[in-house]
Amino acid sequence: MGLPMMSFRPLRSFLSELWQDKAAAIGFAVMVLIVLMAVFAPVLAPEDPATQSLLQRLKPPVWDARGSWDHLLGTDNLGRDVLSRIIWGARTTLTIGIVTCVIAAMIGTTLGLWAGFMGGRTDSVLMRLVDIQVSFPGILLILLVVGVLGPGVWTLIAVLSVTNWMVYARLVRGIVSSTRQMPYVEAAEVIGCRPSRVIFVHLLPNLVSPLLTLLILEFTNIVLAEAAVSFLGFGVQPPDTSWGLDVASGRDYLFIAWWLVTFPGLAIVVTVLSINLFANWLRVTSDPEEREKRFARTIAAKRRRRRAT
Amino acid sequence: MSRHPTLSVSGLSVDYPLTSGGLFRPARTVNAVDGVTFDIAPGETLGLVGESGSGKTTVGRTILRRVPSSGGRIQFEGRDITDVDGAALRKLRARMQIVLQDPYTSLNPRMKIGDIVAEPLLVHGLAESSDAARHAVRQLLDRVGMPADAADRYPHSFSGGQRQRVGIARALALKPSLIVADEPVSALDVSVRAQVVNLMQDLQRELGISYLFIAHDLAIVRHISHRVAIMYAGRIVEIAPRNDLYDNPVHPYTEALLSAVPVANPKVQRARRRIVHTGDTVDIANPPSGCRFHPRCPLATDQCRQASPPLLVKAPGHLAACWNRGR
Repeated sequence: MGLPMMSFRPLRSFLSELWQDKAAAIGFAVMVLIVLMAVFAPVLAPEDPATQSLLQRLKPPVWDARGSWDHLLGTDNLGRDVLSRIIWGARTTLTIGIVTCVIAAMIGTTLGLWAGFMGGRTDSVLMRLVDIQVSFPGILLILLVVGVLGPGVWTLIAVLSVTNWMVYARLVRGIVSSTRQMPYVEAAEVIGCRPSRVIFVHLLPNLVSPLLTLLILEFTNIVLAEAAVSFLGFGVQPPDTSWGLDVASGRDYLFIAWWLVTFPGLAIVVTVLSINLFANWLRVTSDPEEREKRFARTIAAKRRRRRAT
Repeated sequence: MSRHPTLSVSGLSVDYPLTSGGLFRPARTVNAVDGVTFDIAPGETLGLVGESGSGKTTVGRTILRRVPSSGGRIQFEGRDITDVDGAALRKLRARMQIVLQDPYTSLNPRMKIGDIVAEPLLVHGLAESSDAARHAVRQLLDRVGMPADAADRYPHSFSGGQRQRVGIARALALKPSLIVADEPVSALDVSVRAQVVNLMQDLQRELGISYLFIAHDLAIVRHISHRVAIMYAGRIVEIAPRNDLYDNPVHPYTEALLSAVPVANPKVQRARRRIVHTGDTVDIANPPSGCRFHPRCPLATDQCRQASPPLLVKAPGHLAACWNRGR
């Protein structure tokens, strides 16, 4: 199980297994492209995303009658190139989305594991803590913290992590406390496994697929939350840019310049969709039974095709 | 035979909390096991029989120190293990193992068979890695009659009987002297039950393991056990060598239980009298006074209602707890 990255051979077998599922392969390729785009933004972007030009305001994309090749995806209300902003925005959006999801998932998983594994009083105390945090309006906490610490990408990451870990804790706790009752966990304990081995070998692998699903759902949430906070002026600060910020600020021009909202929005959709396709494949791969079924299906499909020709 | 019995349990009691106690009121408890006493000699099988909720599984779990006891002592190979915990308990676990009821959930679906059987060796430092344990694992799998390529496959590709063999191999890996088998065949098809039970018997003959064989299938218990103990509502009501118990049951409950087993001979079966006791099974949270069987017992007297009968010798090696029988 897991992604083999150590040497060349496992990487090849990973790619060849991935290639059997075309949708997942495309998803994976798009994901890699988006990450590369974020990394090489300075090389790829045709223009500086912050350069304003009042003469070039609200130009439509190139295929429109009024569009020009200078700005492939048009310009925004301050004459900034939309394509360049999307390329640069990938950096902020991916950083905030991924880092926040990982930190929140780590906090939530740790506390959820602890609560589910210990049970009893520890469980009640931790879960009441989750209830309190859930009932507290997140946006208020965000405004409070940002107001004190000052806005910035890392402040945003910290605050979004603190307001989004609870859903992981609830999920993990539920799964752990039910898996803990499984006979194979009892067998492991009777064998003499230490609690750490029980957790890492017998409990954690069950969390992989639900956590993946949740992480992806939450990634979208975080991107939108970042947009909302940026829109309020507490998040990403111009001249920095992010997809969420662009969607939020393009909103005012929705009826005269649809491309301001559409392209950053599309970028979010494509990213989430490709992660989703890949994660779906990864979920099946992490389950031996499902994996063998999938393998059998591809073999059967190949045979059918060969017989047909 | 060594001087000590492999396992010696005396006066074992277990209380389960019914409600968690509040700040000002004590927790209510259910007395699931009450004063259970028995020995298991090296290489012996004790069958533990009782209806659902009679406490037989709890007895097994308590011996393995999975459930805390509230009274009595457990001695294992001459050593008191009632209060052992931490690292000493983990070490002790190498000597007493469990075979679980449901082979479909007792093997981790994400581990290969080889890793499952190697795990006890790894955990107790008897092998450095699962590669080093390969040889031992192959021998164990071979011993329980699994195909040679089983080690590299996952549990889902095997049948219930085969999975139970893997469960037995895992229990055997540490060369235990006692195996608690908690209804090891009741989840299996009738056709494979005999195979698994015979395997267990062969292993016992070869390795001198003692079994505590928990079951409710009287035919299988008769087949595998040397002695049989009958539990009712948390107490042992009768304990005797197998043939004694099946041929000359003393306790009215045992009688009724045995009469419920059909005989595979229509003539004999027609001639038999089925003993059916009226009344409901006992509510363990609210046990009757005196003998716990008295509300259903045809022989019940005032004495039965007031005092609970002690487990007394009624014939050589044959103990029963009844005021009215075998005096």
